[in-house]
Amino acid sequence: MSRLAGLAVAVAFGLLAACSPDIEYAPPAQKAMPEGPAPLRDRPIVRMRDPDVDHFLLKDMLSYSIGQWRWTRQRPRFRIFVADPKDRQVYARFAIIDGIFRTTGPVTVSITVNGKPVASPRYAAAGEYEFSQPVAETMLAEHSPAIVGFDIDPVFVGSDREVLGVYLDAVGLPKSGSR
Amino acid sequence: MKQVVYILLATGATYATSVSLGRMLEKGLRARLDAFTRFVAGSALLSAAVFAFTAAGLARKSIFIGFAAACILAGAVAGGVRVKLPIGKFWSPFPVVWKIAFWVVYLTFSWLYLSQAMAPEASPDGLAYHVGLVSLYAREQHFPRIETNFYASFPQAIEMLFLFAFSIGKHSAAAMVEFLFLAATPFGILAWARRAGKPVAGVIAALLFYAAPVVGRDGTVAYVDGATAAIAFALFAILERPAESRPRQAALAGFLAGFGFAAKYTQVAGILFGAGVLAFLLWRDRRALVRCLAIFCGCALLMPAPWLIKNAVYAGNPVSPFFNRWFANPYVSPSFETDYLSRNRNYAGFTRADAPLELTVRGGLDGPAGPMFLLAPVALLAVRVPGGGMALAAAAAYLAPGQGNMSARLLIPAFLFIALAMALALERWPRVALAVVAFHAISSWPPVTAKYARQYSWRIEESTWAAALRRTPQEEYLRSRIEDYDFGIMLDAYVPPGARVFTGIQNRAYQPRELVAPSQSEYGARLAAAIEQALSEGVRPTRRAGISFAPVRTRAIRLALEGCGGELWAVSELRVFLGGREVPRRPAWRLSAQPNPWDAALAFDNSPITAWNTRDYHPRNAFVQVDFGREESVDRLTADGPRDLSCTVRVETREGSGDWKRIAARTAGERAPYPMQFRSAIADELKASGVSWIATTPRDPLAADLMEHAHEWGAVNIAHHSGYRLWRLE
Repeated sequence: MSRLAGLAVAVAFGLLAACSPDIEYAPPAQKAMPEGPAPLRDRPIVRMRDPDVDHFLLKDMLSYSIGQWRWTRQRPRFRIFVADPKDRQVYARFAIIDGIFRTTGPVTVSITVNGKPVASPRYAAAGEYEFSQPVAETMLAEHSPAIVGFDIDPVFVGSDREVLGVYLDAVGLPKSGSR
Repeated sequence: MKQVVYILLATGATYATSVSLGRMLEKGLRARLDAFTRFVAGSALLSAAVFAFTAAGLARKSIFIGFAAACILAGAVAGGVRVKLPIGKFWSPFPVVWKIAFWVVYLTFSWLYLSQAMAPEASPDGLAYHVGLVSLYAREQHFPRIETNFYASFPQAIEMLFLFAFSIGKHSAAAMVEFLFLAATPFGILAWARRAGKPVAGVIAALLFYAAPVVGRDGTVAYVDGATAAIAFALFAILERPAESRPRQAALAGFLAGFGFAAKYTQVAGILFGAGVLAFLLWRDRRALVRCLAIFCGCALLMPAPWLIKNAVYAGNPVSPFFNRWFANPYVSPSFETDYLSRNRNYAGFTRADAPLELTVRGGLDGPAGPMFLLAPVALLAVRVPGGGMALAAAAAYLAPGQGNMSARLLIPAFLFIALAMALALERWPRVALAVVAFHAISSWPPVTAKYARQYSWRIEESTWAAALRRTPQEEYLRSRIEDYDFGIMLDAYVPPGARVFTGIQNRAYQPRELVAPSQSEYGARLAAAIEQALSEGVRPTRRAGISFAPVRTRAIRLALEGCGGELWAVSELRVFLGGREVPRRPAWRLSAQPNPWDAALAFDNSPITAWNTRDYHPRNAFVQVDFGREESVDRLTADGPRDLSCTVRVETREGSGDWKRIAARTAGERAPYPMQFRSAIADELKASGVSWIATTPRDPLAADLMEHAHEWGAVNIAHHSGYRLWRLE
């Protein structure tokens, strides 16, 4: 039995080792958070949920958001930073909301990059859409940041005269094949 | 072929050393054991020896070979290493037809199983920890402290046998050790049945168990459930046998029950079963009962004790990763444990009502046991047959872990006893029994199983002799079985030794870098919570509770939790104010929290990326507290937390008597600032925590964010392969 007693003592020590004492700390070194927006050399996609999104919205966007997406007005413009203009596509993810569509009917979204037309897809039903189309390198080479624009027709005009275009999640110029 | 020879040598050495040690134990206890029990008991001693070598930093091939040679020599001196084939006299009580049935089925399935066990190891849990950890121990030659994989805290008695074999024959040798136990178990059943005068029942039980698809699958990879079933049966056989000496029987049973627990926590069922049987056998003689139970429990502690002590020292909890409220520690929290147990309880999304069909036919719960197990209720007829009652009791005991996890793997020991009870019931109808065995064998053959089991259920699909004999090169075979095999090899090429990689990849067995997975450690979960801020706005600490009260002079103040709706209360930053100005944090302050005191400082580091968190869904008396070290006047606190989390709190100050007093306060919700360069801040936090490498899988949402915002993360894509990407944080 003495062996068993020795073992029991060893296990008891093990259990005691597992008991945690009161633990206190002095204040740690204070961390410095980087200030301002991220340095903009390359930000090929802007998502409406990004905390610094306002920095990339040039015009015609509603200034508040309900969820993680935002409403455009009729001619929104976005600043998109790309470090390398090769193999880019213009990309957008947005929704045409059913309640709005019932008033407007089919919607055409004319997409421009640096003022030059890229495509004018027409959406004949409400729903979520992703659009992407390659962009010639020459359209981007001399412009930094690039300006991506939507011209939406028709738009919804509310009783308060607020104009609503599409409900936008993300827009940008990612590398071809990355989406 | 050289590799094949090493695998066979490793397996042979494990078996011969175990048998030799078993022989010595037999001599020491002056007991007579059958060959199966001798092997199982000896393997326990070998496991303990390997643990001791590894704890001493001596986990080397040369040490293991020397130890094996010494044991085999000593066993031979003790008359031990007689390889006694189960032929001749052993078979005399068995009817010819059953002898033929046994050998036909046993050899056919053994041929299939051997091809699996010898093939390169590619099982998920084998890669993640059963062999993943063993390969780490072999590299390091000791038990390193591992805070990135909670599986390292599970007892690993069988993995010690894997380590012994791995040092000679590498990964496949580990699976072969598991197969050794599986292949030996039918002979253990036959030996018991022969002794019990139930030879036919023995053959039926042995074949029902051995041919079951999930048993064959699990027993031929580097898992431990086949071994635990063997241990459970050895325990049963010891307890069921009429004892020449009850104390000796109790000692041996306790030792085996403890070995089971040291192999897998769920085998605590064996300890309870053993104690229950002794109590049943001896309840009329209270003195003998107390004595035998004391011996049983003492011996049951022998094998698990080293693991419990290792856990107490390394993980701050002897039974880590469980009971973390009792043994609070910084490595595994109660919330992590709750999440883990909850995942296990809801295993594969099936309900208890689904279990009978999924466990037997469909295989949705980790592989099918075979349709014949639908006849399990027949086993109840064995209750009046000698040995039947105890078999049913054992089945019930080993079914108990199914309450927490319905995986068929965990129930393999229970299947063994169900098979035994079914066999004892069916023995009275030999023709029916023969038909049952034949149907079971046919329905368990892989192409037949494929016809009724779910497409992706866990089972053997075909024999793999080309891979087993290395005619198919190992790399080629592994590449076809492990999706991230090549990427794992890439980690080895690009990531410097000693660096940690944050990833969801599980392959630890074929690459040496330390992987940090969110689901496998508190450390990983903490890093994942920081990363989640980049992907989900709701978890960002942009909700500020501003709590104002009449100016108060106090030495210490705390923010205490009243309720959080079962969510984890988190405080990213706690600040103290007087007259609208923040009271500066001074070095003399003492910060503490309850529970999870280890993270208290994270609420005072001026970083929204880190947070103190209760890490307990239902904490008692949770608070975060500042002792100013002197009297301080304050009139307001602010506590920042996740946007989508709403908790109610109260403020308390410490009186001169040391008691805490609640003070009247009103709380207003505000918006806390959040850095625009949050990705950069998260990356800094990862680096400060020791992680500069991230490996993303094709479906990882972090992969898309890193692609889109590499510049903000300060991340460079170092390598990519089939959708997997390796990033370095600059």
